[in-house]
Amino acid sequence: MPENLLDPCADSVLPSIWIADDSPLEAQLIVHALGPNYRTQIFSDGSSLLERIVRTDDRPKVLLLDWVMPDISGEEVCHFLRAAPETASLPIILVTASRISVDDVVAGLSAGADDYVSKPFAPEELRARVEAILRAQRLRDLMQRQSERLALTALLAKRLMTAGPSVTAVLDILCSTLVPAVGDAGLVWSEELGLARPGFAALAHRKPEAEARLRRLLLTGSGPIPGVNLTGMASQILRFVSRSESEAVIPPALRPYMDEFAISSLILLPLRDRSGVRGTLLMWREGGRESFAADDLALLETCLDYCALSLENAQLYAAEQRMHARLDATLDQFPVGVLVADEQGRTCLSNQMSRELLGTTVESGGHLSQLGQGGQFTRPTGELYALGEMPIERALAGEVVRGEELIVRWPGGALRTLRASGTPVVSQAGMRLGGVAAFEDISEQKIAAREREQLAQFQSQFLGILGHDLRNPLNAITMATGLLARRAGPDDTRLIGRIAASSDRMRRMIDQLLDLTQARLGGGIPLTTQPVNLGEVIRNVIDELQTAHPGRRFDIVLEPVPVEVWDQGRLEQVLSNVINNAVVYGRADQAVRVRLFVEGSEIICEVHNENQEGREIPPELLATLFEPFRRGRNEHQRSHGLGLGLFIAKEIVAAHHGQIEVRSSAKGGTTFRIILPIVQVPALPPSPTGGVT
Amino acid sequence: MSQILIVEDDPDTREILCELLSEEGYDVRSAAHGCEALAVLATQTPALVVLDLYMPVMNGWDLLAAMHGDDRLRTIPTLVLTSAPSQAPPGTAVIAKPQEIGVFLKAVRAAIAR
Repeated sequence: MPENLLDPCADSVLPSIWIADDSPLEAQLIVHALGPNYRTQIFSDGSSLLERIVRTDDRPKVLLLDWVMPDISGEEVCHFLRAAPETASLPIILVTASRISVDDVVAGLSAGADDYVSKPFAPEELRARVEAILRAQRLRDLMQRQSERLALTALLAKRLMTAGPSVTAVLDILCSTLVPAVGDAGLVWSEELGLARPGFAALAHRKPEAEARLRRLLLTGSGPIPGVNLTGMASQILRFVSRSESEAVIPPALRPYMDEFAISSLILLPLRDRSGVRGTLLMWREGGRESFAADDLALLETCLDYCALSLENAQLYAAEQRMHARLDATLDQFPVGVLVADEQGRTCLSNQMSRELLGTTVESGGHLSQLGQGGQFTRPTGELYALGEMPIERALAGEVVRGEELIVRWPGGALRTLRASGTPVVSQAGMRLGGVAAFEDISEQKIAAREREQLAQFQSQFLGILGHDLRNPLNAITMATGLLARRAGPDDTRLIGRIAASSDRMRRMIDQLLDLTQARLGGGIPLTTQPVNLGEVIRNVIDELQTAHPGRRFDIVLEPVPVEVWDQGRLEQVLSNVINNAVVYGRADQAVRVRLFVEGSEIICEVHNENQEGREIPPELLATLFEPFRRGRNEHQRSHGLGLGLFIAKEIVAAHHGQIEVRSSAKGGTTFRIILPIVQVPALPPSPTGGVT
Repeated sequence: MSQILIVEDDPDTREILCELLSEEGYDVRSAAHGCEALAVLATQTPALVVLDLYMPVMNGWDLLAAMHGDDRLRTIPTLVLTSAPSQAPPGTAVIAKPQEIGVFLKAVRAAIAR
């Protein structure tokens, strides 16, 4: 309890005392006896006093009432005052004549007087009685203010409980609760409390029309009060000041408001929490109201402490909500279903995907035991999950589940394959808090894998047919044809020859289809490697072609090249194809030129032929010459093959990490270049030198 | 006359081979797969076994392995006639299907001579 409240000098104004006495002389005696420490007012009769007292707010601290007056007696005045609520507790001292009887005193005190003085009195006695009354009154006032303040603090605390996570609501409650009780107007202002509009956060005025006016005034400025740094002032703590004092301290920018609202006293307090000053409370009183007292300041400080606590809670709550929202939004972006359950098996977090995959029973608050109500969960074997056996349930029980496949069947019959993982959530202290599970829809992957498997199976079957199944009957035909040819008479030889030639063509086509299939589907043409002398291979190929085409000339220059580890049969196939093309398509009267040489780190075989008039390879065909199912230049050659020869040649060269190229023009002829990289450089074998055959 | 055992699951091929080799003067026996072949080999020791690789019941690889594991049968020459010559065990005489009879007969003679 602040001591100065009991000190009569603490109030800036002197206590007011009203005197009612029909004798002006008696009244002056009383005034004189009271001395200079009181403001006195004299009424010559009871009715003028009563008339005045009901019309003013500025009531006296003590009333000195003459007991015997002409029109209305002191006793009647007493009765009247005690009957009205505003004056029921106004201290009254009866001033009586010396011949006062005990009955009068009893009657006066019964009528409501607090004390009495009998004339004549010593001035000290009067002053002592007045002071005693005033002291008692101050104590009573103080008690009442204290209990009002307690009630106010309790009310504020109760209202703050309802504010929830809203910072604005907290500040609004602060203003709307405190202003009517403590001041006339108040505002809370903060730059950093995360409010949409910079400026005051909350504002209240005791009078609605004044609040509207204040609101308009403040809204037009850029801050709560233009030109005033309230936060800066608050951190200096400008305590309560009277109007006259304030003008010396308040910045000039605030003075128009002082005049506009006749501000008589104001309090400026920082709103602090543990992290420092968060805002400023400005509260004022207007007109003739008494200045803020020290206990007003104490009350406001207490209230601000409550408010700061609520703000912290509100901010924590809001931050948690924001984090929750962010987490939810983030999890919803996951292509994986995420489900978190507490130790009771209640869902506390589930993202969009988990609801899609597991059904709406996993929505927050649901229980895991309801999982089976949406769809039917089985293992890949078709076995139903027993109660408590789902991955998330096992995670709750402490098990770590990794990549378990499960199948969910929806009421409509749709089937999805999920891959589930789960792990228990354990506190640092080792307490089990729940479990988290992730679900991934792998239905598409499953289907794709099955398709890949089927395709691979089909490929291997197809390769088997080409490589094996077709060859057995063809072998029977070929051998039977050979047997028939030995026994046949001259008439049958021609037809049997046709059968033999056709079955041979079919064999070649089957070989090519096998090569194509292996190149395209089987990952490349398989090679059976051995050391190969390419010069010898070329010579053998040309020897065979020379036998088949005795009239053709070959111009061969074979430089020595390193022996490399290659597939000899396959390279024979390539060279045979390319050189045979040169023989078939080239000019018959010109030699087919074959060159073998080393260029840098590559072995190059060039096969060149001159073109018959207009028989060069057209440019549009050159671009696609090595693609499968291309036809040769002569349309009538179509029936001879599948158009796979050069494609297979290119694939074989590619399997040797080499390249095959072609150039063709009417005058320059057609040249194929087979380029093979040198991998190892062993000793050069003795090599045949070239010559014209 | 030299005896030849034909082991071949394709009946057409088997019949043609039998006829061809009989015509060439060989004493020909035949079997449809490895098990039948081993049954023949239990009583006979031919001059040559001509065999396919892909066969039901017991394939050519297993037959070769079984013969290799037997002291008597190990010495009998073999000739693999297959559509997958690259899959024949290393060191075996092999010719590809389809095949000309001329080439085949040459290979048969060469295999017996060895």
